[in-house]
Amino acid sequence: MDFFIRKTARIWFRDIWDEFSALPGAKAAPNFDAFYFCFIAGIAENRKKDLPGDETAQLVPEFPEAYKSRGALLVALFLNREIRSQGVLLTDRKKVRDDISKLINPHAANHLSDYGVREFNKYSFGGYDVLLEWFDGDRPRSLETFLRTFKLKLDDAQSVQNL
Amino acid sequence: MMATTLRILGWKAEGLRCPDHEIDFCAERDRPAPVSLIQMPNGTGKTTTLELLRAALSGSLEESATIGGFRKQGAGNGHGEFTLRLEHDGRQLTLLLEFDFNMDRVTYKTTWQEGQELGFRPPQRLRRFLNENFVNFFVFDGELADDLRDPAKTDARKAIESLFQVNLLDRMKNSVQDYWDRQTKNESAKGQAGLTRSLNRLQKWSTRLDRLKHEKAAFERTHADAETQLKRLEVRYEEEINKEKGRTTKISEARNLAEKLRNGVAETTKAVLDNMREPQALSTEFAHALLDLKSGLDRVKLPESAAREWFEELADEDECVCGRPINEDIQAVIRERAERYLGTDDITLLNRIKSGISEAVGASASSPSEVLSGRLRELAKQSRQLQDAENELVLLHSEAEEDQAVRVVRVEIDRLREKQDKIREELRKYEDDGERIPADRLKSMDPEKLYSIKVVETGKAVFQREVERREEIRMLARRKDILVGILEQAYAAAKQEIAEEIRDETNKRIVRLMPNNNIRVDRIDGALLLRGQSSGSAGENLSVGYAFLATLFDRADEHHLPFVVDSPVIPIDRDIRAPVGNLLPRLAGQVIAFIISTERDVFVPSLKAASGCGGVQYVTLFRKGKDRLDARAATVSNAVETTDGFYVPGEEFFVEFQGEDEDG
Repeated sequence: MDFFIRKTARIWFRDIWDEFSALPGAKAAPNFDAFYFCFIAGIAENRKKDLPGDETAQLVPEFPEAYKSRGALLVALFLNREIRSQGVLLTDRKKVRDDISKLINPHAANHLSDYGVREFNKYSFGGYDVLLEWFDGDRPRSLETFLRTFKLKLDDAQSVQNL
Repeated sequence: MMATTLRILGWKAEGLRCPDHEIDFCAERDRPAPVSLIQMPNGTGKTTTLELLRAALSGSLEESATIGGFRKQGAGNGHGEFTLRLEHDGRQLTLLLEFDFNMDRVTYKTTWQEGQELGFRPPQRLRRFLNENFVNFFVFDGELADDLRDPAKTDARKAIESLFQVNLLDRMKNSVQDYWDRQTKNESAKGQAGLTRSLNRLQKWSTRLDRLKHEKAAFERTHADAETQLKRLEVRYEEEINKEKGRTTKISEARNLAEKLRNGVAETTKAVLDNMREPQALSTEFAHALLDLKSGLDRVKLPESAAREWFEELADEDECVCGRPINEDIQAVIRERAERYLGTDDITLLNRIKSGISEAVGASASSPSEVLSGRLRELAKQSRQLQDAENELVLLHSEAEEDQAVRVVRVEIDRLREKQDKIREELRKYEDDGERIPADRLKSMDPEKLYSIKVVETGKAVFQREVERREEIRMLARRKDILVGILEQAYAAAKQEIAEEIRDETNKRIVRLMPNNNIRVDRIDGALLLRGQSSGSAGENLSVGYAFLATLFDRADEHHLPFVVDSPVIPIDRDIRAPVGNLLPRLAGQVIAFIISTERDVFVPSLKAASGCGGVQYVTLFRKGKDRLDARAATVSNAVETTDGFYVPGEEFFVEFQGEDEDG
């Protein structure tokens, strides 16, 4: 199953789309970069959202090149968030194993079961709402400003959660 | 075509309307006699025996509603059996009919290579002969020869088709049509209408694509024109500025500095972006979350060292690793509990995730984040420097633009840049290729509402493929129609030609049988239709029938079937009996004739003479109860007495036998 992005998120990122470059030798994946920042915001704020199909656009079934080596970590971050959201303690072996079995698929290119990808996408859909809040609805105009602001907002959100 | 041979080895009847009896056509030799004459007086169940033979050979009683006519009168236990032993291509085939008169039901049992099977199950190669229509041609009732001319009772054309396999052509035609129907069952419009509809759609998408490309090209030209103008204006702007040497130097230095800083910011931004793609660098919270997951999994020992597959394999063993036997209950428990373990591939993946976490944050949870923070601080510093440099440049430009000539050019440059921004905004619509739309969704979309050239190209390709597929279907449809037409014509022509040949040869045989008779077959349709007359005498009709059957079996030399005939010469004038006697042995490799004593005269001697060295097997079968006959039969060696009849083999008894009800 493929990753999906909110259509409105793609429009929101359009001014910095061309700046979503890759390091030399790697292929740029601006769609997935946009998906990723939405996903991180969704994970950080624990915000999931389900959307009808016509509000989303299909991306790719696997982690693109720039994320290849980081895919396992993103899946780990997702698993941790899902297990905790279910109220499962990491000491409860059976429930942890059951939850993980439901979410992963070792034969899938993205390591996730169909159900797992659907839940993964939901963090990205919900994360876009988080971005709108963090940026007061303003679209980013330069990547440099976006990255610095994103990091500041992420730190703020996590320090509030730790209070 | 492979030859098919069928011979009757014998039969046995018990508990049925005819006297209990058993006939073995190989009793006097290894092979069935070429000609067997079975003499049965009227009233001894000759008709029943014939019907049993037909029923056994055709399977006709399998679906029959009533079987009461076969029940032995005044006795019996409500059950009867008829066993027909056949030889097909050198192997024995046995058909058993079990009559249950209380349930009014017949059960067929077929014994062939694989053993006994319930039901009428003759080998595939015999099926076209072993059916009700065809069996009537080789189990033939001389007294009912008129039936050959009655289309309601006979389908001679169908028999010819079965014998010569002409109907293969019809079956081929049906197979071609069936295959075509199966292959195109999901096509809503198979012909020209479907193709036209697809062509129209393709045209619509193609037109839309052309227009979008045209529009995009127009925007690109406008953008390029603006770019040319911009370059010219920028040169002019520089020229105007350069008119004052002092400000030229200042602006040039400021510009170079800004450019250098801009490149630095861009490079650092790229590095920061790639760094931020690592969640552990984005935040120490994430790094801790990853470590928590790993240590949590370690704590609960996930993944386990043993995989689910190990327990599933153990459940298949007879003995546990501890040496205790594994019975079905233990197997079930092991299988159920195996579900509590992860599979091998799950284990590999989880271990990969855990080692990924160790590599990323194992050394320190905070250091990835610190690296990113350092880069971000550097980026912020570079950005501030760039901002200062750009402010300085703007200030210098503003001072220069106090000069009217410079300001005029600046205004025009700004206007053109704004125009280019709008054009780029428009071009984005045409260049959007982020979304992959499935083909079935594209088919229902209106291309006029789409702007992405890539999407419309994909849609055009979808309809292009559909047009190609429909053209292929249409071409195949034409070929199929031609093939079906050829097969139909071949079928009709073959039927006609074979029927005409059979008719002509039948007429030649009629001339030999009845040289002084003008009766001829006009055509063979469902039945044999006579030329210039609707019917002949009973003798003429039987002679015509023999001529037809002789032709049929003679022509079909690939198929060697037995010929069984009842009352072969009863209706025939005495002068034709001799030619019929001559003809019968040549009809088939095995001829079995049921006769009554009054048919013997002239017929049997001529038949015996025509049978040559192969000889004739003689059997007399009659119902017990007439003292004179019973006593005479008892003197014949090899005679068999059953509960209600006598079976007497041999020529001597056969020729002297006079059934009392026949000879009065």
